[in-house]
Amino acid sequence: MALDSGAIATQDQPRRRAWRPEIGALPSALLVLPFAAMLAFFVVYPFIRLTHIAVFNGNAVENLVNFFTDRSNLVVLQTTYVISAIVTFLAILFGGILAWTLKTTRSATIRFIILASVLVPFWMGTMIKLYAWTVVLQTNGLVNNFLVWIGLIPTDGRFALLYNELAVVVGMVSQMLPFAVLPLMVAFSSIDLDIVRAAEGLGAARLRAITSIVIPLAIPGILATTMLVFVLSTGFFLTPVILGGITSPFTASLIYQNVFTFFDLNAAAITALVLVVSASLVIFLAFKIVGAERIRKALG
Amino acid sequence: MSSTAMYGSSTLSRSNQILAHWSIRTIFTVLLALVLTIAVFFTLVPAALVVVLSFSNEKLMIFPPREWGFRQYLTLADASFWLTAVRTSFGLAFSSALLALAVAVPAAIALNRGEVWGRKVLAGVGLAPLILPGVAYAVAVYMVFLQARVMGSPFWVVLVYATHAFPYVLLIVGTAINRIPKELELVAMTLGASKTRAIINITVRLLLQAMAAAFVFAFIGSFDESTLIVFVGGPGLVTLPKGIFDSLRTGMEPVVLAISTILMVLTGILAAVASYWRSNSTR
Repeated sequence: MALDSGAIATQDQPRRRAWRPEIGALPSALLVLPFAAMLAFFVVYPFIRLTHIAVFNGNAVENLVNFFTDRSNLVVLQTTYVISAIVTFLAILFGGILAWTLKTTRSATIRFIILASVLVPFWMGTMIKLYAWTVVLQTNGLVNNFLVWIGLIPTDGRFALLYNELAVVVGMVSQMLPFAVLPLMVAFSSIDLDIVRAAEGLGAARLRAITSIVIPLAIPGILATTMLVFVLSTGFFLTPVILGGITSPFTASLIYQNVFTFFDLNAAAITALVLVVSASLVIFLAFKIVGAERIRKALG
Repeated sequence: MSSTAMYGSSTLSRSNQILAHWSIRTIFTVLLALVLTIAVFFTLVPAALVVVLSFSNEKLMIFPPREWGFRQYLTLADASFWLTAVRTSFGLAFSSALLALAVAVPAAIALNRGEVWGRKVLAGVGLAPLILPGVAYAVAVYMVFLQARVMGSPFWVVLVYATHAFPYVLLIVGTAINRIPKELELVAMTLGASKTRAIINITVRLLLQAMAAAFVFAFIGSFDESTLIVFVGGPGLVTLPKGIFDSLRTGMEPVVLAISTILMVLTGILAAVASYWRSNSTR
């Protein structure tokens, strides 16, 4: 379009600039300037500062060696990645089933329940949701009281459900589910249900139709969503700190303690930097595999 | 193998196939019901619990409450600490959403319509606050606040929150711009409008709904922001999420549940309206 009008204009008369819908280089630079400046100050510079404190504060090699030879730091990093992977798997599995049911179900009730379970969490504050989870999981909480009430466990046999890795997984999955369902809904929306019906008409069972038709078609969207959910999961701060406890072996708790208890900014910065590097690697991989457009779609 | 033999064998096992088909279907349905229940439990139970517990008549947070009623809602007016926190959250969220719109909308127009050097890099970095691990970003911003000695300054928190809200504006307004035909501006220009006038009166006006939707999402995002504020809020700047975070260790006051319930209803209405605007603007 731009090419056409430009080509015609240059042939006839020098009115080229005034008749193009594109904004020229100088005005666009002015329009973008405040935006670019804020990104430079509040996104780029903080990460430069973070890298500076992590690496160039004192002896760089010594800092890094000290950090990575401390076994507790390695355990924390490992736990974070393993838990994030588990959360991602569960969120994609549950989210995929929810999104697919939403697309195929004929029942208005099921549709309503799924939509509510996706939307309501967005209306509620993160912090109050975590508070609610502590009420659900605590020793005198919803789950334990229910189990005692139906007589499955004795009054003194209540489970310690809070302040462990299970609580963190539960809390994280509950927060990541909507983030998984929405992009998967978008990914599934382009799949023609007639193809699935055709497969079933040709004798494939429902499961077979889904594994050999739906999943291959949805793979790029699923990969983009997986990337997003995993990266967001590694960055969780409040859930591990509140449901796992301040001393839980997660990067979030490690960073919190290093900043507010030990004032060891160097260790906090290195931990944060490891998260940023791993997240960038995952995002880069996803870019290479599924492309930028898919990732944009997965974001919203 | 002859074709008749194949045909014969398939008719023989046909009833078995149907049986297998049906049993798989039943297992599938049961599994589906199970997953639905778990998913609904995971996402809806916390919300439902907060609403139900807000009708507890206890003075302190006791579970399960022994008495029910409207006590929390009636004592709302006396909860000055929490009302101040809500007011702080509101102020920060409103200013940062407005600033995000003022800065990112012109940028989104230029990025989609103009010749911008480094367009892809800018668009990518603009989305970074949404994708990068939240706790890492918060620590990075904390280091800068420490260096600039502005810990707990509302002005600087608004600037960070606005940057944090750029992705909403870029995604919602950026998508909407691409749906507006460029030819509309050309038509306006052939009818005598200047380029600036064409952009403002045609494109920006058509973007109004998308801008409103982006404002609401940016507002909700900043209102609920609870990781950055723990790091850069310092002791002085207490938003609602920060207040709840601090009170989790000393013990929650049940009045917060009433506040949260009211806010949830308001947010739900706001989000529904914003989603309507958004779908209108991208159709």
